[in-house]
Amino acid sequence: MAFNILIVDDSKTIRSVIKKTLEIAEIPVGELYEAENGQAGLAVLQENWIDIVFADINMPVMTGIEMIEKMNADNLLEKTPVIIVSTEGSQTRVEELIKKGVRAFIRKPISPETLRNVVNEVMGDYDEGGN
Amino acid sequence: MKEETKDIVYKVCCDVFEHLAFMFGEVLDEDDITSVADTFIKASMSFKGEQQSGIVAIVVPEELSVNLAYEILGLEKSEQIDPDGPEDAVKEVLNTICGRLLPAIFGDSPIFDLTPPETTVISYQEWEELVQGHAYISLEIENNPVLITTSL
Repeated sequence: MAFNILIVDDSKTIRSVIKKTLEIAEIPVGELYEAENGQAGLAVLQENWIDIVFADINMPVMTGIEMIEKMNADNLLEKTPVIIVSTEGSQTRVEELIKKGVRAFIRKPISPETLRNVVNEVMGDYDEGGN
Repeated sequence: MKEETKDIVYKVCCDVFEHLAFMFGEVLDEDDITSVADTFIKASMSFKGEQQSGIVAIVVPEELSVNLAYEILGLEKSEQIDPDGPEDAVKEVLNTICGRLLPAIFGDSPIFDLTPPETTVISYQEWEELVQGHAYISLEIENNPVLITTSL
């Protein structure tokens, strides 16, 4: 099974790094979409079937947290797994994000091993959820 | 900057360059800060928490920013990089430094809101003024001086 993936990050470099890390981690990717902020990410989510969202927190226009709140308010998007990829160092904020429904948190710099483990964990849960 | 803060900044910065770009840093004494570069990329961002707020900034010679982009992206030198790649790379280094510096200093409980990093290109003369202003500490990365400052 190949996953349709959306990467939401204002840095084109980091989007490229995540794409490359997905390749190295041998994660099967179907369609790969990119967005430079939460608002652009929501537009992609409304037009396409996405299996996993990788999102940064700190972005202009709409942050990753605001995007997740909008997704939670949308019946069609609330169950789409979101994995935060960020430099965030506050455990309090990570716990808040988990409460908001974020499925996993990867602290940058990102390694292929971590990415593979997190995707396996999240998509295992996702399949069991019947989505 | 307090001495103990300096030590934390040095350690965090060396770790970030090493893990993000496989580049190794050494502390550079103020008297030894020199550069032959004409232009530099200065990136800065601010943080705001309940108790503390401030800025973190980094200044990197342009040539090193290009190397950073290649290393972060894992590209060969024969490959083309996006024109924004070098500035993006410096922003990401700063973002990662800031993300690691705040919990290293304040612990992992406080929440900080961060602004996205912004960059400007500065001349040698502007760079020299920063060095002479003594607000920055410096690391040597691949024979290049990297200036770092924080208002902490």
